[in-house]
Amino acid sequence: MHMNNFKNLIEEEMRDVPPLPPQIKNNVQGNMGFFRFLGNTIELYLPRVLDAVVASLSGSSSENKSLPKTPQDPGTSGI
Amino acid sequence: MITQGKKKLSDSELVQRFLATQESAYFSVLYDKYSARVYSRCLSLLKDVALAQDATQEVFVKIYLNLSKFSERSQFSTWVYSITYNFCIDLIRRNKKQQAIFTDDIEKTPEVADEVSDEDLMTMEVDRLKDVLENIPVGDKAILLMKYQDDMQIKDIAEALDKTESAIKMKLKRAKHKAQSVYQTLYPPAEY
Repeated sequence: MHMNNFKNLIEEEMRDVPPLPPQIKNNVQGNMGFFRFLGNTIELYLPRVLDAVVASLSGSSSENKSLPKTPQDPGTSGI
Repeated sequence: MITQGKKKLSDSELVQRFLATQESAYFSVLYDKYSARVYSRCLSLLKDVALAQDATQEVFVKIYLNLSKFSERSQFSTWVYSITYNFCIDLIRRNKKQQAIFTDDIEKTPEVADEVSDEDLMTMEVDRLKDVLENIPVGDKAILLMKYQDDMQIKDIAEALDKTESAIKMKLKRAKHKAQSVYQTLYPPAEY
């Protein structure tokens, strides 16, 4: 096994590195919370929005289908 | 008490349990284990405390967002470090508005025939190695750290830097040559 001073270098740097402020962990957790909230919101509301869109589209087309046919004008019925 | 139990879990177990439960305590253990290592790598490449702190935060958000993509083909630490190096190199490119961060991007290097041995690099005195790494292009430094400090495989480095394996082999070879030539410039052999 060769000696590897790259490993010794990182150990030395780790010793000298100033501690990471706790604020960073709080920010990471804050970001995680935001993304989780965003995910939950999308999960909860997206199907409803899609349902509403589908309902409105299918509703308007069935509305067209259910419109009563205009009766032919008896006065112009082929005479 | 619960955290003590969680600390005994392996990295993959922590990842799996976090993905299954979304309980942030599992992620917190991973953060506590890796934040200082990620930070020291960011600081080593970015050389600015505030930038390195922001980078560490961004790296952990990336880790969180991509955790489901961690495939266990490589070690969790390797995966974390590849995200770290990739993020820092991108940041340097964006800040300096330059694409050239490797020796072979900066200068037209002649084809290097003989390989610098790993042993030559790994046995450089720590202080000298530090000086050498400070005086080579940041891309070369990153690639040498990935290979010799973090024991990353060529395929992992290629994935992290979005290059082909043969491109990485060539960049590694040139980075080793650059390191050796900088070493010889900084520490010329004594003449008797």
